Amino acid sequence: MKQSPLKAASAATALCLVAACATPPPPPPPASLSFDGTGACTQNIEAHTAQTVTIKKRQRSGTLSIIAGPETACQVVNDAKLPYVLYKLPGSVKVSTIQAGGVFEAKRLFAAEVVTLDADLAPVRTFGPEAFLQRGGTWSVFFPSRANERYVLIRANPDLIGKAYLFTEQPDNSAGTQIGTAADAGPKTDYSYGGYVFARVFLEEAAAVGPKEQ
Amino acid sequence: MNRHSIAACAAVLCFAFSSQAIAQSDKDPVLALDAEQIQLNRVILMSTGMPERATGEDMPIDMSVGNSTAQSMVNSGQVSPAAGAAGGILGALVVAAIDAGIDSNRNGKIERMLTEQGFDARAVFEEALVSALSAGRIEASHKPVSRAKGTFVPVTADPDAKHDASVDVLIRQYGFTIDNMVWYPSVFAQVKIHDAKTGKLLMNDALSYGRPGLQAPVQMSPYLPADPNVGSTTIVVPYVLDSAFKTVDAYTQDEPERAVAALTHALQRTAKATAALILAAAPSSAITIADGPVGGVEAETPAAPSGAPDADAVTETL
Repeated sequence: MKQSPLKAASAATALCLVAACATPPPPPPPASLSFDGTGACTQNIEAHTAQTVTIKKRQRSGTLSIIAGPETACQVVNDAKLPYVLYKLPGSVKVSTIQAGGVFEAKRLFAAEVVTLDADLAPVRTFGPEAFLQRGGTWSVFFPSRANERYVLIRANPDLIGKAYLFTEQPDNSAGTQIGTAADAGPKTDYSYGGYVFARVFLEEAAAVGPKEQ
Repeated sequence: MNRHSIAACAAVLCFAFSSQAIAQSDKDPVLALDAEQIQLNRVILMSTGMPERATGEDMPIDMSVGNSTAQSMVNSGQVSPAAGAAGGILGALVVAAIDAGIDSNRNGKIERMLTEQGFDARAVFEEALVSALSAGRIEASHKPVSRAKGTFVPVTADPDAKHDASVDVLIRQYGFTIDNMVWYPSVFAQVKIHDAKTGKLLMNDALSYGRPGLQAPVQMSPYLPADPNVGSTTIVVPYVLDSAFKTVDAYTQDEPERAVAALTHALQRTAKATAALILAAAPSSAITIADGPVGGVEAETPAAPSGAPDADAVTETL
């Protein structure tokens, strides 16, 4: 009996789907507590590594998340190699507010610091750990954009490595910070040299043009 | 089940979920204060918008067949969600009605307990907010206002205003929320700040205390990173680990003093976190210049976490 190619294809697809269902999901990636920068790290932030955060037409915000780590660019700061992700802010639309930082994962949180840069990649402002808050599923800063800010840099902060973000209030912590260590009680996530980072851009008005024009 | 029944079921489900959802229904964009643009010395605090009463928030009964989650089991007690779905639109309506009855009964217990304890949520919140603002050198004075239920007070520009801005806090929920089969004190608040002279919106942010499910979003899906869009920009105020109650009776009957203390703390921490956002534009939040080998970087803290120490310069270099 001759089987039609369509039936065979359907059967193969079904088999593939079953196989996909049977495959257990990979374990969540652990926190990276060291970074040796397999690629060539540079002394300066490189503009060509930038990715533009775009907003869909008629939308008022756009988000771009990227896994920072060995695959992304890195910079040498004080002899330490630090992975970074450079976001370019969209042009031809008026940016109101920016949110940027790391995304909580099961076992890691990118040890982010955020720096805004002008068109020449000169720093405008730097946001350290005390400026970050847990906002939704992220550990991020949220700030109004200034006219001369054209890039947002998310770079690893080595001071956070070996520490953990604590999800619960720490009664014995007089400083009131949520940054502790693995020894502290309660749910926590370790800071890491690798992990999801994101930048979200809010516009003053809905985007009149699409991503290609931005 | 025909198409009309499916649509009706969907409508009931939507109602069940939306009745639980704490939505930001207005269309104002989320905004953070910029200390470079405005400095706040004196603010008016509108009387805090409060919900009708404290509530115990659980998950609505999930009526999809075979999806009797732990939370819906806790919620329903004897009611089988699958049975509701199996009964079609009528079954769904019956289950929804039972769910509403359970909610009403629980909320009544909470209300009685808080009344017996003489609890005044608004007073607790406002006292903590004013105290935190004063500590940050912002003079805050009350303005009694009336508002439509669940809405912000309409703002009008006043070029002769003696204060810099008006602060309008709308607490959309306070009480207790179930998470992973235990109850925690919870508060959900939204805050808007308007320039007193121009009426321009300066800040629009939201804060959530409790709801530990929000605290560690990765636990909901351990193999995937949390979606940054989940939870949006809402600030999650850290909760106290040992503030959990195993049952509704535990916080309404067995341990009312501990329940009131936990809820008081939740409101105070939310107020303090709200104040921290406003204090980003306080006169004391001086901008400092960091010194680094590759030129200075201006460092600042636009929204310090509640209880954080004064933000000193962050000396990072590019």
